[in-house]
Amino acid sequence: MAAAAAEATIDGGGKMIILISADGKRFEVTEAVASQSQLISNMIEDDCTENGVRLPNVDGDILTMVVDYCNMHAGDAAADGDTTKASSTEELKKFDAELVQALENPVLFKLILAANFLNIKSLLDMTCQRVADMMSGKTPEQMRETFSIENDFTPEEEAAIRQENAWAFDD
Amino acid sequence: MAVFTRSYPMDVDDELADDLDRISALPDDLLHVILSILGDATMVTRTAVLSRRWRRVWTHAQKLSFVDTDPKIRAKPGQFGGFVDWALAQRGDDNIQSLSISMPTSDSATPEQINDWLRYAMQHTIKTFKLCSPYHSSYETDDDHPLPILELPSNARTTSIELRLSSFRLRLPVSPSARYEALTELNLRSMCFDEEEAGARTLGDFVSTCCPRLRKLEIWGLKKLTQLVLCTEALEELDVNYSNDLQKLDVNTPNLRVLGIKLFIISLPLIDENSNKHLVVGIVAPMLEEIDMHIWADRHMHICIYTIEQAFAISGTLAYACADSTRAILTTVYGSSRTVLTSSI
Repeated sequence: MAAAAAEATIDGGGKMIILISADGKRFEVTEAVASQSQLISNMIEDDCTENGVRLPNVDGDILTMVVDYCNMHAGDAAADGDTTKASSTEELKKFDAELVQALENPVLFKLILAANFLNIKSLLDMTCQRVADMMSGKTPEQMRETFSIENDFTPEEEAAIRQENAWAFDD
Repeated sequence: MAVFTRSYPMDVDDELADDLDRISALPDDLLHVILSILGDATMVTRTAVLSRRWRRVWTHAQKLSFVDTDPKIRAKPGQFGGFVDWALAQRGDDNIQSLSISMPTSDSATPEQINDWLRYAMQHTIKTFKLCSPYHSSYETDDDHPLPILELPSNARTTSIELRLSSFRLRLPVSPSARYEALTELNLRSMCFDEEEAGARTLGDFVSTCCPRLRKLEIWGLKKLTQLVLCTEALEELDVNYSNDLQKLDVNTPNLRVLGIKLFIISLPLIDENSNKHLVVGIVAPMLEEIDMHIWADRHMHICIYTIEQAFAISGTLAYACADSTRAILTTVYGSSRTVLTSSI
């Protein structure tokens, strides 16, 4: 089935590619959709996607999100400005906003790692922006709480580091 | 195709209780992406105290940019310079890809500190180094308070350097073995030169003998630069802008493709002793493809551009203006097939 699908084409979508997650889930996407991943785009160029693309460090649930994202954003990259593109700008904004708002620890960080591994710059930017937003305006204590960071400094060590750039710690 | 209704996270209920520290598990280069989006120096600096993992993350980024946009910080003298010193010291001997320092005021750092940054940057910055100080007019013509001197070190491994230092004098390296081996782009703005200083190296000599790979040179508003004599193989693009003390521009560049000259040489006769000096421009550039020249002058100019035939696909403009029409402008562009332009006013 996979082989047949890999060879199949659909209207306007070009060749299909099978992505296989770490836990064996299979996703069938067009080349245009998959090419938003620079990693997969390179594999397509090198002609090594015939038997499906195994992604041993991306879980199925994370890959679902990535594939949804790429499906939504395929219009961005596509050169032809057909109907999918005309309807997309508002929908895309809504989709991205909903996606990014829904992201919480730990999914957020898994998605960052997946976007980094697959090399999807727009998704990486968006997810890293979310993390930056979660840090912004916070004291070190609040940042530790937000991200479950364990403070392994002694009180003396911590005081010394704060002293190095005391201006940054004045509230 | 689009799935709007799905709610995230899916199938991860078992992980919702997960309070593992996942951010600290990210590799440094991803933390650097996040911190560069965060941007703000206060926030970024705070991360050093989160845990041992975070202690040196931000100072070891491959791109560091110090820009003071906060008036509150600006009010404390020395803080900006001290912060840059501290951050660079944290890096020890590590190299950095890109370093940019924009001083909020010209006294945000002492000349000694800035010279230290120049030495650090030339030694450790691999790709781009940018150093800017804001325009500061009060120094300009005050002979009793000479501009502080900044010295370019003898060697650099940097490929691209931009210096915008309006309230400083730049001293180029005098050592015969000075070498900027990797330098391909140099952009100098606003600083003052002192070519009458004994033993000083001229900008033309520095570029011609120390920068064998320089492909692009741009100068803008350089003060007391009276001559620029370039003889360099690698140079492909030259932009000379508003360096209005120039009297001689002599360029011999076998691979130059793009040339831009903008000069505004109008003196106030009673004040400026240069007002009766001539401007001589000579360009030998057989590969020239593009030229954009605008010179406004109230004195004799002699401009010669030697090219070969293909260079007559020259695009752009040749524009001259003469404030005092009784003086002569002689412009000649020589080529192997014909003389393009000879004008005399």
